[in-house]
Amino acid sequence: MAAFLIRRIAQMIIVILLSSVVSYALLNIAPGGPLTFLREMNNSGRTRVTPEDVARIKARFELDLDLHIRFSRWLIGVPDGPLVIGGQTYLADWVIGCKTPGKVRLRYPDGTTEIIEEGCAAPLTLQDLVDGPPRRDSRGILFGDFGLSQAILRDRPITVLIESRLPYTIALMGMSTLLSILIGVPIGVYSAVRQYSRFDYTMTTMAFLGASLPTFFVGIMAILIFAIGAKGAGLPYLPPGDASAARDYVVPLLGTITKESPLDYVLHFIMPCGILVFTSVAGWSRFVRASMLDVMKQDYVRTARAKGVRERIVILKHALRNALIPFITLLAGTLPGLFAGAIITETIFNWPGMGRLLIDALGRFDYTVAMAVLYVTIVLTMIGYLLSDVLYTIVDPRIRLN
Amino acid sequence: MTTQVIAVEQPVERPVESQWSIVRRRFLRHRMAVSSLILLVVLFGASLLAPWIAPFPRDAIDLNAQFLAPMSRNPATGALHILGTDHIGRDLFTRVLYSARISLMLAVLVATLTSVIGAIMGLLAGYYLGWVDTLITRSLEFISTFPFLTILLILTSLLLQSPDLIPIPGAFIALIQYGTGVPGDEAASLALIVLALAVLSWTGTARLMRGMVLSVREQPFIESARALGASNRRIIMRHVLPNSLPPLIVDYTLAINGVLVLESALSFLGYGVQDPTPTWGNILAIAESNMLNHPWMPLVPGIPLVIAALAVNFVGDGIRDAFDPRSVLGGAGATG
Repeated sequence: MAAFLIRRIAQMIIVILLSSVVSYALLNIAPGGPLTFLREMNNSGRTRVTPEDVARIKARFELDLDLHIRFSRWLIGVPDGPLVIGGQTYLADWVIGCKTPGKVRLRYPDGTTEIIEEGCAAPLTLQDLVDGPPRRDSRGILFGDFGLSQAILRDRPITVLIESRLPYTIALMGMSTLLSILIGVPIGVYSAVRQYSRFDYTMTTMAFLGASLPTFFVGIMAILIFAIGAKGAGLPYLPPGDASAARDYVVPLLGTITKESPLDYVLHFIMPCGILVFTSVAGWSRFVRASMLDVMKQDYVRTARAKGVRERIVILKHALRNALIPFITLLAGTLPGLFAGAIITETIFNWPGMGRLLIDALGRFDYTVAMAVLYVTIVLTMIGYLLSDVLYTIVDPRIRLN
Repeated sequence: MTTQVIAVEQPVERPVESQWSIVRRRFLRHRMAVSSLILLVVLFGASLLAPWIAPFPRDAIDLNAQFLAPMSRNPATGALHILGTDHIGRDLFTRVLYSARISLMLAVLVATLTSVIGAIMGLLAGYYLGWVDTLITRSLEFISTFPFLTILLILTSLLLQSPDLIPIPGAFIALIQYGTGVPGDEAASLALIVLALAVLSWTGTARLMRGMVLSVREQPFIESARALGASNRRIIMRHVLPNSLPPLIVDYTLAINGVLVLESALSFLGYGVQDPTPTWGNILAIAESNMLNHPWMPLVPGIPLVIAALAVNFVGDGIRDAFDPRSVLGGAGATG
């Protein structure tokens, strides 16, 4: 077990490192960086941008550092200055970047000239990280420091942003996952026990619909019926979006709902949660059905029946317990979803969670925020895999990990 | 000639039916699947004829005719808008019709590309094993750790921002232009979306194919082919591939449905097909932002989308049943 855990954790770290390289590469090809903007300002000739401005902005976004140094600072927050061991400083003049690039004037045969940047006029050393223009000290993304948001929350840490959105996503995803399991498992068990019955066929059809109807259309239909339609017909209606209301509103039969009261939150919660349950309950019940059918054919179930154990006990105790073992993998798979949120559902219902945050970030070109969401989801996925492996051995002693 | 031919009892003629004709026969028995296929063909055919049967040009803007309800007439010209108009007065019937071709074509293209990449990767991994297998399996495991929709959104948003990032061969753009019938500059951005979708979704097919190859390669007929001196290439093309084809075909039809819904979701969120090019997804996005005042609007692109998605699913279901000799015909699909 210990050897297995160590190997799995080592693998996990490799995958996480690789994904951070990929994330960082994506971040670096992201267009609309601050320098593009500066260059455009300069070219338009309206505002003069001095070399000092450029140097300052470069230092602010760390664009004056070499790529690998920048990556290492982004990932683990080092180097943040010269190495100090026992009062002695080391590596203080290790060149890690370039303060001002060298300029070369090119003269073309047709008489035109062009100034291009080539080489380095003033190199940047490790000591300059401490002496130079102030820089933000990052602990590194590996230790939960995602840097600053560029557009959504200007210059505030992304951690703050995530902390404000996370409770909404966890509430929505946690509740809907719980409900769909509570509904899906009994349906699956009953479908398996009464295979090919009318109930089974109905549920199969429902699952087929749930799997083939696009979530966003189901969500929009729900808003049309339960918000717009019901309101128009003078029936009690559900609010079409957001997590709470901005001002008090009146719902027939329920009276005036005070903004941000518990009832207000509940009313806003029902529709997005209901849609997520509707679309995922089919998956859970199909899974349990298949797993149950598999187990019901096993010898020990037949033996239990032959011994005269009551059918109810056979199903619930002998079959279901074993049928739920593969369930654990699925359960661990919901962990990243808990964090990343349901992007489409959150967008339709304007739910201020993580999925919506991703869409907002992309819409405003705040790629550092998008990468933070991606990165944490990957780490959680890996933890989910590990958890499911460990849980497997606990639930099913037949499985030995080595 | 008077020799009497002694009547030899005629050997019983048993019609030899190839696997493909069995599959065809079984598929044709699946009523929902056949009618879904006909529906899709009609829908696609109509969209091919869109330039002739659509009452308006695709992008004709008319600011005097915004948000006209279905079956209403243009106040200025008196022309009939069968499904109404959108926020800038474009005829929705026309746009929904054009979208059918674009959405279906994109789904087929991406599914084809995914299946080809996935099948090649799976074949290579399953047949050669060793380091090839390790490399391919590891990389598909790595891709699978990425949250699919998240990475897809980030990728397409980056690509749409800077279209020159990846050089796309002109022939590929021409293929998309020819298939979807959109102008060249729109085809270039469609190509980016096709690539992003294909790059991220080949892993499932590869895994399936690898599994198939692993079981087929141990069969005695592969061993005898090898004993007869057949080359690896011949064994793969003549023996392994045809025997792993049925699940691949089923996977392919399911992939078409997946991509159809995925593309409309992407376009709905704003990171798929961009506005002047119509798809059901981006028409739905416009409808969604105006639906408080015009509740009929989301239904116009939504209903064709749902019908197409269900139809593709039924066809996939029919094909799966047709290939699977154990399946009972008239199961899930028929009752739905």
